[in-house]
Amino acid sequence: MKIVGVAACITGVAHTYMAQEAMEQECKKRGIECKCETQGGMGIENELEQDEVDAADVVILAVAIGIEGEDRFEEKKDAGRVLNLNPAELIRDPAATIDKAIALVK
Amino acid sequence: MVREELIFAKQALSSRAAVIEFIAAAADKAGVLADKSEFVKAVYRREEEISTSIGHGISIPHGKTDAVKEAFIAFMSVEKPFIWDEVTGDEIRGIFLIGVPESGAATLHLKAIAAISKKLINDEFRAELFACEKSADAYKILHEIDESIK
Repeated sequence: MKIVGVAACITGVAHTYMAQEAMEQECKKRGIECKCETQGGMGIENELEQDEVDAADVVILAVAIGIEGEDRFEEKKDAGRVLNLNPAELIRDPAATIDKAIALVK
Repeated sequence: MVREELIFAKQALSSRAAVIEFIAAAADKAGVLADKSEFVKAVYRREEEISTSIGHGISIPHGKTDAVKEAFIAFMSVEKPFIWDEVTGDEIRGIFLIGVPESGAATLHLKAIAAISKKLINDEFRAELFACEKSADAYKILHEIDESIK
């Protein structure tokens, strides 16, 4: 299982990075490969390449604002493999979020 | 970035308003605010958009405004958990109040805030921080993170 994601919150100061950590830690616990891009106050970091997106089973968009490069996920969206949620939801309950993401594959 | 005079352990405060006012006054005294009341207003504006309680006993109120002169992150743990707001009904034990200038915040400051925010996801880290009886001990933990990113 491979999960990629983007985290972006309104002010780009704290939630963005907490969401990234929550996603990566929860995946690590379960032995799931994960990479999470952040779009915050420090710009775009840990940027996802198109081939990384293509290779992923699921995309988690933990975003509260419009993001750069959303077109990278078009194909996954059409395949019903994108989970959209607010970063706060992911931070509050990372386990439930990853469960939902996995459910998209089955 | 993490200033000792903005770290408070086991305070006897029990409302969102009291905590925000207390820390804002301390931040003002520390010289990181250009306009205290404007900063407090920005914090409430953000709070109204969506609660900054993140679960896990923590809230991270923050204001991004030019009423902030220098980016800062303040921490307070309280003696007794209290309800942060009625929207979430969450019981809060620790509060991180963050101030960031609207324009041109130093990247190093943002990095420090991001690093501390990430740590909050870690159960053991929160437990360790909440257990601190003295402000100096909490400062030591947070200062270490600050140092690690330089």
